[in-house]
Amino acid sequence: MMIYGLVLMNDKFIKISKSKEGSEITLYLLGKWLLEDVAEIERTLKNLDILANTKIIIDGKNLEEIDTSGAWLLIKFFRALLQQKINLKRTDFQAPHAKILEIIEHIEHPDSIQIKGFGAISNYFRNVGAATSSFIKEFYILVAFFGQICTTFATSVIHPSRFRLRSIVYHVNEIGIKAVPIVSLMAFLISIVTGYQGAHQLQKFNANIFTIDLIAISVLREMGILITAIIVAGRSGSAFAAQIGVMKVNEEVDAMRTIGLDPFEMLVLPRLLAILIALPALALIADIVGLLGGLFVSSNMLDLSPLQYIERLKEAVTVTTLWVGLVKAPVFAVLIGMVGCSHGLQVRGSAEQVGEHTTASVVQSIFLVLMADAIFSVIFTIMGI
Amino acid sequence: MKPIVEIKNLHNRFGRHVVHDGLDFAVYPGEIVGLVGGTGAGKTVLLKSIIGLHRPKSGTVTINGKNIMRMNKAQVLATQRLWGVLFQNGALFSSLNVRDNVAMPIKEFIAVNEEQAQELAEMKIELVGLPPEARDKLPSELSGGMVRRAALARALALDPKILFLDEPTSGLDPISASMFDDLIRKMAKNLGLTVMIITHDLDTLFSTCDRIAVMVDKKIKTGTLKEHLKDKHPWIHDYFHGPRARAVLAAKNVH
Repeated sequence: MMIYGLVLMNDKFIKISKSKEGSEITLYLLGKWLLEDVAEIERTLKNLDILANTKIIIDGKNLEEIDTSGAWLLIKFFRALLQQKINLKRTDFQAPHAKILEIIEHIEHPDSIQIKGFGAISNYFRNVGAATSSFIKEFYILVAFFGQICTTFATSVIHPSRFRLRSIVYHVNEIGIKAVPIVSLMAFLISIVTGYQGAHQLQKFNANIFTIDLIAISVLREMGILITAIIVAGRSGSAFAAQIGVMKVNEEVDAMRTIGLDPFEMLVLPRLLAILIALPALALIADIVGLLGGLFVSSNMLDLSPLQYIERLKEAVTVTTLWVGLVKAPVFAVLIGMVGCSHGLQVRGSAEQVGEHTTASVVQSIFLVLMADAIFSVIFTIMGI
Repeated sequence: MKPIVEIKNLHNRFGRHVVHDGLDFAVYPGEIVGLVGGTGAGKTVLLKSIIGLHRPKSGTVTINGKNIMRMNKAQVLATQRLWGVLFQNGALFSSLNVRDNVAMPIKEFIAVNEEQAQELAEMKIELVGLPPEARDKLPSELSGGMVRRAALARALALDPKILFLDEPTSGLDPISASMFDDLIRKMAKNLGLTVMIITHDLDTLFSTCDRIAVMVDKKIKTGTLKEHLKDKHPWIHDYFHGPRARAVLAAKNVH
């Protein structure tokens, strides 16, 4: 809107009047300049088109109310006018309004510091590099962590009183005994699933009876231990990370150090020993329940008597089959325990990090468990077991 | 003058533990009221009763002439715009940087575009005396004093008329604490705010507050510092004549 034109603005927020000679313009502020109307007020101010070298009087006596947001728009408007070398005068502002303007006037509002961005392609390489280096760092942390566990374990072996028996028992209960129902249920269900799928396929070849081989071998060699490891990683590995992480946030770990207690001895070693005891035991339970699941399938679907099932089982598997599965348990236990505890100790500062590290510990430990399982498979194949 | 916050005959209890027993309290527009009381005396419960986070057993809480206990959800939401709250230790959203923390209520309640919301947030951040570098930082990267300032900026985001501060200076060093006191005084004076401060900081109490409300015997006694100094009630007497209070008062008289 041209002020020098014939049309004079008459708005909710501003009224304009021109002096007789036309060299002096008075802007009367009206109404309420409040936060809820900032968008509208800003539009009004933008539409004002004021020529340079004019004298402008801003009159505030009709202004009903103004808050910091309205005042900010006004101050910005003043600054824009001053930049155009427009002569500005304020009059008749009520005392409370003047006070708000005064406090807002000190605000400079320099532009945000711009962080220099990267291009899309270089950004991609940058991300790949960051991910790689963090992967290597994680691996390094785990190796160092393992070393520290070994030295702590060695000192504890020399001074057996350093083993926190009470703590170990507590964690065996938490990790192992409390997980028995869920592990059993999962093992039972997995063997039923395998059984039904296998029976369905093998029926085509009239080889129903081999369903038992399928269940027994897959449960004993792979499924029992894997299901157990995954449940323990989700239940207890995450709990390790969260418990130790919270202690880090509360500076309990630091407090421990100042009293002369080693957090590795107090927190990490008991959990690790407990998971070393609990996980193989759980895996054994999973194997047994899995075979019971096989019994359930064979008597319901294959119409075999329990005796026939056991007969077939004897032919299908040997004790080695069981051992091939169980031997992996301690390795998985160490991996899960180590990842959980090390993520707990990596928590720095805020509670938000506890969540991040807990998630990371579960993902990482399941990944490591499956990778170790693959390595085991290769080794066993080479050994011919 | 009509009070802006008025509480009448407030009763609160948790199980058998009676916290407030017929409490009356009023805050008048433009004043800064300090609320003191022993640990566990129910100061925070009172604050929560006023701002609607806790429903009292009985009694009335009137804000700006309206009884908030008789309001429906929409009315409570509209009334909430009247006040800003600074929680103990700031309670900033830990996953958002300072600018987004302050911009959040603006974006939620005001019809502005992203840019305007950010700009208003940055204005508020500067208003409370935070440097521009602080805008992009997460709460965990700020010092204690800066967290309080950022929280104050968020409390001021919607230009409230009333400001509730729950222990704003606890855990701050004396320099930051007195700077924060100055800031509160300046904001209250220039923006015409009504302020209620829950505090244990005697410096804040004596230098900033116009009136002091003391929570004793499950009720509130309100008065100026001078009136409280003459009060014979044992807790009030001990509070205002204890060694710490004396030291602060003596220092004030010297200057």
